[in-house]
Amino acid sequence: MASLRPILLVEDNPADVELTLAALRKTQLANEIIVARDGVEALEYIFSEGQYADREPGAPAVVLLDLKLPKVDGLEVLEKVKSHPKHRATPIVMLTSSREESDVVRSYHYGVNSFVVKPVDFKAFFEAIRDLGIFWAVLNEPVPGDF
Amino acid sequence: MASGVIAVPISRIHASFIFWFRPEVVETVRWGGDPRATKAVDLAGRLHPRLSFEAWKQEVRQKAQPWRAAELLSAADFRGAIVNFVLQRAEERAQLTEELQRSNKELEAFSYSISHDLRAPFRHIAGYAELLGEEEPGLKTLSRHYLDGIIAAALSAGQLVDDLLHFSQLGRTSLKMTRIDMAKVVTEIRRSLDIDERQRRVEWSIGALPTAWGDPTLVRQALFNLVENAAKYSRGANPPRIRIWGQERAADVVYCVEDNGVGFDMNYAGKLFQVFQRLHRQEDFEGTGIGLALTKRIIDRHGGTLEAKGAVGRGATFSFTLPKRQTGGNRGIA
Repeated sequence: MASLRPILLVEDNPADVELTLAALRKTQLANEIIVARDGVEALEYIFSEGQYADREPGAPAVVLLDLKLPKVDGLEVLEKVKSHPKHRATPIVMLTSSREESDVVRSYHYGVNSFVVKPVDFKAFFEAIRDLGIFWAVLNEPVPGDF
Repeated sequence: MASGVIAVPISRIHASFIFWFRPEVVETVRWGGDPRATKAVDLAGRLHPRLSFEAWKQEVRQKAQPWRAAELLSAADFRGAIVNFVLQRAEERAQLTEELQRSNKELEAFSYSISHDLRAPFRHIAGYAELLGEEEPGLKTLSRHYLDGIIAAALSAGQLVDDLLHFSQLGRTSLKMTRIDMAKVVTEIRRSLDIDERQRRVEWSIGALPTAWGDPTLVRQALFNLVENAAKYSRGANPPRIRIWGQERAADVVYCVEDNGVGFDMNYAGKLFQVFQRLHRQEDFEGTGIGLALTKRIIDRHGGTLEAKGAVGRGATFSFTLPKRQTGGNRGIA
């Protein structure tokens, strides 16, 4: 069962963190939500390094990754994880405000699992988050074993 | 008749020459005797000195005066001047191209930051207002109305940003040209408009629709905007009538979309195709004012023209042209 793997939300904008957490809360998933505020923190969590060196092993159920992030941006995080022999099966969903075509193309080039543009309408946004949460945290069967 | 010529090559790559011609000078040469007359024999078979050595005049044609050194020098100087001029123009053009590329890059960065940075706060406003409404289910009617106003404003601003971004991306994506079955496109457009309950009463009249050459996705979008507008602005007519037809012409194909709706004042026709310009109030007809600007840009990029004819209260006709076959219609940046 994948149900207790945490969801990693990588988002620098406090308003987006709050609204996404509110949407996830409304979805009533049991999964723990980890929030990383920049690309470096996200990589530290995924690779169990730095402040997350002692975290419980295992990949998150899904990484909800913003594109524009301080220090290391979303595309770099994506590329680092997807080119890593041990971590490349980590599901990553780009969750971004931008529908810029080149970002979509590059994300798929690096092997993103899904690309979602946050709708302006909160009801639609909530539905998107709910669907993503249910799909990745409940429906999807991850690679067996901890990695 | 020009009989003297100097050919000065301008470029090593292209076959470009400057030619200098000078007129024929007809000369009469007086010879001691006709060199062709090998024998001048009289009836008795004797050589006849008077005939043999008769002075012979020849007209020399198609010859010109030799070029003088000064003339050759002038030709060389002139070539130098032209080469300098061409080089200067090439340099200017290269600089212009560079500037254009830079401003395109800037525009790209600008639309990127619009899509990301401006879209986000509108999302936040809509999100927080929605959450506030959920937290306070017992809001007074007027307070709820205000809250709904905030949400609606944020959504429409977000829509504007999306439309603007779409518009700017349109100028940058390359066209994927192919033959387009316009009759099929119109059928698809009608089907998607029929889903909207309001448009169901429309009386359609679809004429012959010749095929065109273009990017199918973009052409579909261009035509969709026109047909959607026709349906929108004629919804008050009883019944709304929309006529769509095309006609093959010598060089291109013209397509027309005609409706019997509210029409427009021809004095404002120039504003129709500008971004975010609207001739009607938002409460009468919804929309952000991007549709016709998009259509215009799409048709422009195909090397076609878009025209509008109309009168207030008497409907409107929009017609546009597309190439009939593969041409140089693909312009990189519109």
